[in-house]
Formats: sequence, C-alpha cells, structure tokens
Amino acid sequence: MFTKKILLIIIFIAIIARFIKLDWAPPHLSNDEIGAAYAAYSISKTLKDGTNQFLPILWQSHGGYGSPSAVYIPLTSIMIFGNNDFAVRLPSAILGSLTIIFIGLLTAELTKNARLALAASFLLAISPWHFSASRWALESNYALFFIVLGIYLFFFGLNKNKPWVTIVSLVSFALSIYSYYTEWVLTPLIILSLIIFYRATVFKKKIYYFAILLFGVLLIPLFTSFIQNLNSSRASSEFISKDIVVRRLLVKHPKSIEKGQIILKAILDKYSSYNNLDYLFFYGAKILPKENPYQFGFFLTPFVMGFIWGLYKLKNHYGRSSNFVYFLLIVSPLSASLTGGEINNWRSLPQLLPVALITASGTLYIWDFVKKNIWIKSLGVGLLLISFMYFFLVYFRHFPLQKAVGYQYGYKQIALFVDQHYDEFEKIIIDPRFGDRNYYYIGVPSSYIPFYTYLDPVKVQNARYLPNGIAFDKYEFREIDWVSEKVERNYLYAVPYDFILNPKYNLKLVYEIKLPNWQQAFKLYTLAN
Amino acid sequence: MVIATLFLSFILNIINHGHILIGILNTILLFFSIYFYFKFSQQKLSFIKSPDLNSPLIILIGAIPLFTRVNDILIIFIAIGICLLTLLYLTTRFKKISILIIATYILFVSFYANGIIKLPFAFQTHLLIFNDDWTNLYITQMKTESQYMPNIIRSLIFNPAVHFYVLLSKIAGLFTLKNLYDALLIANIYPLVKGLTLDLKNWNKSKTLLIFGILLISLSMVVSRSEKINNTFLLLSPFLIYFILRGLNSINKTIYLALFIMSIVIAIGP
Repeated sequence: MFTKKILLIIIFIAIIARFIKLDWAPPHLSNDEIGAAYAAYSISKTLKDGTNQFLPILWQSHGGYGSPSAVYIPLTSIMIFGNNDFAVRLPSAILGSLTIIFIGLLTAELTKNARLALAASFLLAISPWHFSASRWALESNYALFFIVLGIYLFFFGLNKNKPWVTIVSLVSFALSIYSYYTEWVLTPLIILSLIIFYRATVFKKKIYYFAILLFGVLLIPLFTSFIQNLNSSRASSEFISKDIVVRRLLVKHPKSIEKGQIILKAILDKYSSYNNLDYLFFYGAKILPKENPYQFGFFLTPFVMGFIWGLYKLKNHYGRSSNFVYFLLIVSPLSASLTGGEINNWRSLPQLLPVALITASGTLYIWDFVKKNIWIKSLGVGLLLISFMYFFLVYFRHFPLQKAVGYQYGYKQIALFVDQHYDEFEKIIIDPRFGDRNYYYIGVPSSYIPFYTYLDPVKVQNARYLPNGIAFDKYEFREIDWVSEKVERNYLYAVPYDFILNPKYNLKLVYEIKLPNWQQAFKLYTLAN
Repeated sequence: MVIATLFLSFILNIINHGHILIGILNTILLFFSIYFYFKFSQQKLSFIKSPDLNSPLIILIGAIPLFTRVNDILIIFIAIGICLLTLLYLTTRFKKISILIIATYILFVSFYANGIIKLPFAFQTHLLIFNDDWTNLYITQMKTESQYMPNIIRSLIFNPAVHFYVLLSKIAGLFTLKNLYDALLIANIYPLVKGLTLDLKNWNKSKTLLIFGILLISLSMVVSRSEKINNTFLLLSPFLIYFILRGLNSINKTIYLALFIMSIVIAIGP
C-alpha cells in the first residue's frame, strides 16, 4: 500500500513537471512546431492557413504536408492563451499526461492487475522520451495518445460488452491517423491484429462491422486530401528508397530483383536500429548532442533488466493478451523503418507503448522475486533515483544550453524586439540563415515573426515571392548580399551574429540576441545617422 | 550431419574468398563450437547422426556467414583457444582454476581482438574508451554549465564514471538484430532465441558459464573505441552456436526454412 502511494505521488509529480517551464525546455519552438502554430493562428483568425487554403485537412508545412491534428489540436489553446510557447505546447502536455493515465487503465484492462497498471503508468511518467515528447507540440505524441486510448477502449468495450465504447475506440484510431504519418501504417495493423486475436468475439457482433465501416468513412476526407496533394506529400519523399545511400545503390543496380534486395536490406537495417536495447535504454531520447555521453533512452537505463525479463515472462502477467503485446512490439517501429534518413525518435514514439507494457511486467516480476532481499531492492531504487536525477538535471539545465541552436533560437527574440519597435522601421529584412559561418542552416523566420508579433494573417496569405525569399507587410525574408543590397535609412537588418558587414555602409548595432549559453546568435543593424 | 555442416562451411569459404587456410581455420572453429555444444549438453558427438540433434537443419548452420568470411587468422586462433579452454573447463575437475584461466585468457586476447594491443605487444592507449576526447570534453562542459552547484557536488555528478555508462551502452549496442543477422543470418536468430528461452526455463548453475563468457567477452571488446563487431562475434561463436543448436530441435522447420531463404536472398544482394 505504501509503495502504491509513493508511485502515485511520483506519477502525479511527473505529470505536473510536464507543464512547468514549457517556454524554457525545449528552449524555443522548433521548425515543425512553429509551422503548425502559425497555421493554427492563421486558421483561428481567417479560417485559412498561411497559404490561403480554407480549413485545410493536410496543410502545407515547411517541405511537405503536415497532419491535421498538428494544427487543429493546438488551435483552441492558442485562441485562449495567445501566441506563445505555452499555448502551443499545452495540448501535448495534456495529452501526454492523459496517455500516462490511459496506459495504466489499458494494463488494468488487459491483466486485471492494479499493481502492474500502476507500474506501467509510473514507467511512462518517468520515461525520458515521453517526458520530452509531452513538452513538445509533437504530432506523434498526439497520435500515441489516440492509439493508447483506442486500444484501451477496444478492450473496455470487449470486456464490458459496451457497443458505444467500441465505436469511440475506432474513432480514436481514426484520429491517430489524422495525427501523424507513422500511424497510417501502424493503426490499420493494430486494428487488424485486434480483429484477428479477438476474432471469436469480433466476428459475432455487428457493432464491430459498423465501427470498422465508420473508421473507413472517417478516413475518406484525409485520403482525398492526400491524393490531391500526392506530388508533394511526405510519404513519397521520405520512403527509404529516397535515402541518399540507398538511392546511390539503386542507381548502381537497376535490376528489379536487386532493387528489391537493396530496399529489403535497408528496411531491415533500419528496423534493427529501432529495435535495439542501446536505442531504447541508452540514447534514443536524443536530448543532448550525440557525442555527449550523458544520454537517455526511451526509458531510464536501470529498466533494461525489466524489459529483458518482461520479454521472457510476459505471459505470466498478460496471459493470452501477451501475443498482442508482442505483436505491438514487432510492428511499432515498422513505419519508422520504412523511411530514410537518420533514425528518428518522433517516428518511433509508438514503441513507448509495447516497451512500457513489457518493462512494467518484467520490473514487477523482478521486484516480487527479490522481495526478501532489501539490499537488491535498495540498489535498484537507488540506481533509479540517480538516473532520474541525472535526467532532470540534463533536461532542465543542459538541454536548453546545448541544443538551442537546433531550435532556431533567436527568432522569437527578434520577433519580440521588432514588435516593440515596429513603427521605427520602414522595412525589416531578416536573413533566414542561422548558426555560424562554418555552416549556416536555413531557418523559417517567416513563420516565427508573424506568429509572435500577431501579424494579420491576411498579410501573410498575400505574401510576395522574391527571387531569393518571401515578403509580406514590411518584412522581407531573404539572404542578404551586401554587394547588391541597397541599404536605406530606417531599414532593420537581422543577420547571424558572425555575418560580415559591408564596410561601405555605416551600420549600427541596435540589438543583439544571445543563446541560453550566452553565445551570440543574431545581430540587428540599422544605418547609423 | 556434422560432417555435412563442416563441408558446407568449407565449400562456402572457398566460394566466398578462395583462401584455403582461412577456410580450414573457419571450419575448425565451427567444429569446436559444435563440439562445445555437445560437450556442454553432455551428449556424445556423432559425425553422422546424433540422437539428440537429429534435425537436418543442422547442415544449414554451415552457411553461417561468421564462419565463411575472410576472418583474421589470429582472431580465429584466439576464438579456437576460447573453445578449447571452455572444453577444458567442462572436462577438468579443477573448475575454479580453469575459470580463472578462461577469464585471464579472454581479458588478454580481447585486447588483440579489439585492436588495443597490436602484435607483438604495442599498446594503443588512445583507442581505450576512457581516452575518448568527446566524452572528456563533455564532462568538462557539463561541469562548466553547472557552476550554480558547489564544486564538490559538480565533481560528484559529472566525472569519468560516465565511461562506465558508455561501456554499458556499447554492450547493449552489440546485440542488435543487424549485428546478429550479419553474423548468423536472420534464420538463425530464431533458434538462438528459442535456445535462450529453453535454457532460461531449465536454468541450472552450470549455465552461468555461458552468461559469464558472453558478458566478459562483450565487456572486454567494448573497451576499445574502434568497435570490431565481427571479431566480437567470432570470440562469442561457441556460445552463440550453443544456443542455436539448443533451439534447433524445437523450432518450426517451415518458418526456419522460409527465414533461411529470405536470409539468402538478402545475403546475396548487392
């Protein structure tokens, strides 16, 4: 009873911690977050996104089409709390917290074991990657919530014989597909597996036929929109065959059998990277730069033993549902494995569910097994506390200091400055490059600035396209070339901090933006009098 | 059937690289690994037909890539040494002394296998994981970023003990599906897992040797910054072959054959 109370308190604290300092860690809205946030803001004001599309289903984001939930879920919170980081990330924190509760309810539904349910919730609550994902406006986090809710309601409906719950379950599954591309492959597989594993009940009741039909009908608008935008959809551009290494091999070996072999091998290799103890328990959360040894996995490292043991002893807790959990473990990294590029923990977020269920089972088994040995228990709890302390330190202190550049840190600060001095300038020219001279990245200030300055979205919808950028209102977002630049009085220039100025112009520094680690990020200049 | 297995392995060696000496040594290593299984499970090795291991699938073990590659001759000898010492452990009465000899041997030869010692005895300290510049740089950076804490606490939290965490992470990274199927083929992961499960179900003290061997080899191999996955699996070969053969009788043959065909399709791909 005492242990249960302690676990409940920890779960409660971990949930609360998901809402604290949302504007500090992660240090800045990321590229994807601002894309969705701006589209949500634009739709909330004009019912059209930044590209003038009326209530789009798939909306045009940076380099592809974004999923509907990314925009429509944070829309309400942005309307209530305004254009700020807290409003953008709040829905993810709420859904992440609810996922913790629902994974417990799901475990209870599968096993009728309250301790195991508590253990599963506890694991997810202190999971570094779930904690991290819940503090981002991350579509994959919304999708995970809908998957967990859908599975829970499916079993609830099945066990309690409540038809309306089954319908809500399938609606939730449909919403998961509306949330993230990974679920386009994963969710149908989950539904199919549920039908097959529980066919004895499913095929007997008409409600399941209706629910599946409803699921299909709900997806029609999404797929219609997908087909309309097929050419620029991410599904075609991110398939593993588009990966640089794979593509090179495919060019060298044009025969179709060889192509098949190359793609199959590439998918398997990718799958292996995702289904890897190192990734799941040591570095998968990717909170710090990859060379930094203070990394964290999806779950804290001491739980690795629980996972291994859980794999072996799963049947003891889950009974006939264990096959379903194993199936989830096998299929959850599948869609991520079909995509190219580096391994991506956003895409493999669904792995949290089976790994949490298995690890909870193994951990509880070990806990019960060593119940008389207080020393082993103390060692386990001690290791867990140390890991958790490290995670908190790293997440709230070192992560914002070391990763701010990757979040395009500084554009929000530029926006806040220009918002205050808007009337002082005739034109505001922002160079989209950021980072340092060794390698400049290209950012999206054209989304950050109108979002934080509450610029009328109609002005963005009527943007002018420049040869090297975009312009709206008095803003121009383009790469600055001092040789051809005609600098005028009352023009404001925002450039990377180490950008070399043209000595021909007597530019005066008006504002400087520093990263959280006090290194310089951007400088704002105007012509000196 | 063991003869057929060894013959297949040798033929594949010749087809793959044509190096007869390496082919012979690889085949000897495979033989000792199989022999280790028989000895460990207290069975009599029969070259024609074994009563306990009567599955014809054993022949396909000869196609395991680990034993058909151009492996380093020194490493094959080292791996054969591990097989012989573990066989000695199984036959001798002096278990404690022989386990000590095995541990010392593994610790020593692993440094050759992971490149930390170059022949004859050139110690490459810069290859030790503890001398990783990035790790040491980040320990300093983490300390610098924690100046709000008293120095003593900072040093307690961020110190070279993190190398141990990196070691654990590298051990976990050794046993990926990719490393396993590159070394053993996808098909053989199936009996390997089955064998592991069967042994866990019928666990007894003698099986500690297997876990001890696997952990010690893994730990001593990851001490090096330059990972030599193939060498690691060569040293682990008697233990891996043990689990594969242990599980071979209990698997679904159709699934195994399907996986084997899939493995071959991938293995012969560009």
